Amino acid sequence: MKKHYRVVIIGAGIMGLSAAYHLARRGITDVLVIDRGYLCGGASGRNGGGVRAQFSSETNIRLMRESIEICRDFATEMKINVWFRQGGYLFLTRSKAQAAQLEASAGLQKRCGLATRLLSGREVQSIVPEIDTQGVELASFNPDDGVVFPWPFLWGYAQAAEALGVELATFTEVEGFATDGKRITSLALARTAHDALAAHDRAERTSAHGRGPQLAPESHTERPVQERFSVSAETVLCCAGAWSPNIAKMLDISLPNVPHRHEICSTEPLKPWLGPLVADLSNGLYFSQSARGEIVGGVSVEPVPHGINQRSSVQFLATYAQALVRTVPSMASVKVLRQWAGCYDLTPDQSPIVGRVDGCENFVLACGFMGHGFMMAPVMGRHLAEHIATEETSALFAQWNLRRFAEGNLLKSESMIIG
Amino acid sequence: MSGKTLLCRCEDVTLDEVEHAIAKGHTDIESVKRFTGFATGWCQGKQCLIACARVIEDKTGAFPLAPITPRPPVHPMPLGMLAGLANVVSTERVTHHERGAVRKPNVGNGEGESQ
Amino acid sequence: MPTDHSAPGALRIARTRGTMRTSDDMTARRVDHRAVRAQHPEGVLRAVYDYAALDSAQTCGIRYDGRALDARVGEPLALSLLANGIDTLSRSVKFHRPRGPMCLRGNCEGCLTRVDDDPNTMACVARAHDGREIRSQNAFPSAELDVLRITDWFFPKSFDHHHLMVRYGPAINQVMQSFARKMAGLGTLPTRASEPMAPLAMDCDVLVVGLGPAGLALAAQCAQAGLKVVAVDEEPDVGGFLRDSLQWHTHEGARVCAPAWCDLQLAKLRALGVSVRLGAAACATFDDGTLVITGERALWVRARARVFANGSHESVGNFENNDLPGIYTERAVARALRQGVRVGATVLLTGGSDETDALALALSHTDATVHRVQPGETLRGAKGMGDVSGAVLVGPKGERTVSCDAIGAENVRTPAFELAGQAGVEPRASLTRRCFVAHSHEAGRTERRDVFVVGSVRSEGDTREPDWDATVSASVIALCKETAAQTGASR
Ligand SMILES: Cc1cc2nc3c(=O)[nH]c(=O)nc-3n(C[C@H](O)[C@H](O)[C@H](O)COP(=O)(O)OP(=O)(O)OC[C@H]3O[C@@H](n4cnc5c(N)ncnc54)[C@H](O)[C@@H]3O)c2cc1C
Ligand code: FES
Repeated sequence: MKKHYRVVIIGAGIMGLSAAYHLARRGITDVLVIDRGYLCGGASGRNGGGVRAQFSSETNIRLMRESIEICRDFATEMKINVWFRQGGYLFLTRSKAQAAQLEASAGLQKRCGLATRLLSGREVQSIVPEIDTQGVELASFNPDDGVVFPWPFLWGYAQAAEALGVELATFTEVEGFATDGKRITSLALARTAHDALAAHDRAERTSAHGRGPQLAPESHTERPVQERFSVSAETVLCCAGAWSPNIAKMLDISLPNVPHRHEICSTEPLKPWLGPLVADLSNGLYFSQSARGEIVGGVSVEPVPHGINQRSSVQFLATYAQALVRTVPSMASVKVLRQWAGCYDLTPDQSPIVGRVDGCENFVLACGFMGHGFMMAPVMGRHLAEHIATEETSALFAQWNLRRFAEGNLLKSESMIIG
Repeated sequence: MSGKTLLCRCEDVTLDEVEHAIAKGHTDIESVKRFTGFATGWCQGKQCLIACARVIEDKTGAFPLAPITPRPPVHPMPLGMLAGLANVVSTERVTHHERGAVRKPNVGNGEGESQ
Repeated sequence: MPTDHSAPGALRIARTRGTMRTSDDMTARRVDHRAVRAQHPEGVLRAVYDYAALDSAQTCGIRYDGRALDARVGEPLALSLLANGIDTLSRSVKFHRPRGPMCLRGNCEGCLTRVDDDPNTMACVARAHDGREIRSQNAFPSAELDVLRITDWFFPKSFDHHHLMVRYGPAINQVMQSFARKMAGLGTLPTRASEPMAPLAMDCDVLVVGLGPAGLALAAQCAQAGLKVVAVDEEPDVGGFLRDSLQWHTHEGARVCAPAWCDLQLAKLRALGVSVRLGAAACATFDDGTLVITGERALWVRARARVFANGSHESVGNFENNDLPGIYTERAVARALRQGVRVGATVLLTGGSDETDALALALSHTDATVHRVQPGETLRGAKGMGDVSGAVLVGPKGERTVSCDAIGAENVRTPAFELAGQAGVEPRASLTRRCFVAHSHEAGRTERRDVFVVGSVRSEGDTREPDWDATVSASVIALCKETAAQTGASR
């Protein structure tokens, strides 16, 4: 590892890796990407892999339409299978108010060139006969939406970026920064033993607040740091997802986004029967069939614990099972094989926070991607690289800058959010 | 005759595949799991975890200090049996343990906070 | 009832293993335990068979892939099939290699079949009764003869699905993906909606998970101290690994076989007022409770203290072709025999313990030929195109091949740390044993105050070390008293 880089990227999730790849494609290869854990340890390795252009805001529709194009060619371009399957997204609504919103969104989507169709309950059954459509008010379907298998997407970007000269350091965490008041002069990094970090990572073992009365006193272990060192960079790009507020805090920058646990589970593998990803806007239920045949899905569960928490809960299982079995009664004897959790990175106006930060010249943010940051990354990576390379701010980046919160210019919220 | 040693029977992961993953740089057990798919099938690692951990030791010189995160469930559970759980699982205890519980949308204590 | 396959009217099953076979040379079969007893009245044998169950067994009719078979009411379906000479029940996900029962205790994936309407059902857990319909999975045209086996031969060492067909352009990649989707998955979606019983919430002082020797002792000690104890085990009987022992055990000075010893412990627990649930698998632990799944419903158990005494898993064998049907754990071979089914006519046993000796002797009394691995020798690989037809052993004197139709492999036992791990107890590597254990402090205490571990799930040393002495129950009892005092009421 070198002492100085043109760009250091914090977080090797899909966003950081996509940005690194696009920087390298533009010729900026003097890049270091660090991650505190293993690849796929953040939200990028824990999500449902849904890629869709059905949104309620034009910005999202247009961006995600482009993502779908990228996903289509990803396997052959990056030489790794991501199992992108365009089975469509089928949105269900169960109230008049939601139906009206869905109709308005579908209208906008059509104007943007999507093939979205509105469907009645009966028509839903022509796409997924197994669904019990009782109570379904209105549905929408875009056949071009689809699902990917998230992990190889990360390996694909990582491999391609490394081939172009980018350095990738996993199990390397940023612990702090040195600044001269205006810009970051260096980053303090710590490298942990591979698996010692996993052993230490209590986020998945113990809920932060369960600690008090439940944990015996002997249980506090020191973080197994192997080595501490620092590097400097002309630009620091923060792609730390739900951890971003923690990172910004090290710079005395406070971000309005909060981590929000989102649980998900997967069943035994079944022979293909489910074409689209089905999403119910009334309760946040969604499910799709993976390349391996498992039914992968989640549902909204409230309340969620405070802070970064990746523990599983029985409340999730109960809520998900009830919602899914009601929607597809023949799933009742299908078995859950694995449940896990990740964190959505929620912003107050459901729009991301990207671009340079006022008051810290060389700090660039790319966070607040809610529950759809995976599908955004293929496009956002390119925009981020452009922003860093050209130092120009596009209209999109101006709109999504952090300063909108201070200025009170919150964006109109996105209504098609799942879970 | 083919000479295959299946480390993970559920997902058909061979010794050769695990060695290949390690050679490609996936040397920690979580990454080997993701790259090869071991421990992601029916038994969720009950049969294969140790076999794979030992191959990692043989190839890297160090036995992993911790296993993959043990995720529920250890045995497959039918959705239909879980569907009625909402009635018996109280959320009260959760909120008790996790006093910081929040409802979405929620804003941190950030400067630009506004809603 | 033992089935006499040569009797008139009995079904003759053709079994394909390269050549067609008839029932006469079927290798796995029912043992006529009465005849064995008549010939060998003494010694190890009385410890082997579950005489009471075998003597009173009723016959029923089941169907496998449309063929009518007879079975014993209440026996695991996997045994019914083995008794009918069927050891290959499905094909594996990628290579379409044959799969058959291996552990006979719900620990592997070998016996997955469609039972009635339910895909991916473990045939060693589901029980026989009249009219059960079993179907093989993921095989065309049949589990024994599956044309997609070519995948296995096409990829002699491994199968890199990440880079499959990525070099020939999007069109070819797309074709590969559509094909892969068709191939994916094991069973098919059920056709009907099952309606299980509503879940039940249970509150208690102590939940004991696993009723092997450690859990049995601990549950009894806690009940004796006046605590309200719920004890669960995923198996239909108590005893854990001990139940499969073919050795004699002592109870109040008398010699008893292992199942009898175990059942005496069960009777004792029940007499003490312990709520014992069998066939009840603790599937998941959360901060606020433990989810137990029985054959009928889910139980949500909340306890002041949770004790994990859930023992160990058996790891896959470390030899070539370790996945062929006909390869069992040694324990599974003993378990089948106890229930009157001999897994093969020529059986190779790789273990070297007292249990292996007892098993070898018991098998030889059923006219089976038993091969043993000699000191210094290890199993290099199994042979066979469909199921096992032989084994290659290497030792100081070189390599030798034995022909056999079943292997009882002594597999590595590894602590089942997962449940305690989900509850927040850190699993750690045991570098001496090269496995992971649930990390505990003294007296079974863990970093979570309400979670205790006891028995082989935690032990660093010999897995049979009797660490389930009263020190663990003392700390469990102390915690329950303390929390009861804090909250006032008892549960
Ligand atoms: C259950 C679930 C389902 C989802 N479903 C979908 C979906 O279907 N479609 C979709 O598009 N999106 C989905 N999402 C959202 C999506 O996964 C995220 O928006 C996206 O992965 C964010 O990527 P990221 O790279 O910004 O963050 P992450 O992938 O979280 O990466 C951040 C990285 O930063 C690292 N890091 C943190 N702190 C430090 C530090 N101090 N030093 C170094 N590194 C650090 C972390 O280890 C992590 O790897 C889902 C999310 C979840 C949780
Ligand atoms: S699970 Fe049935 S034989 Fe192993």
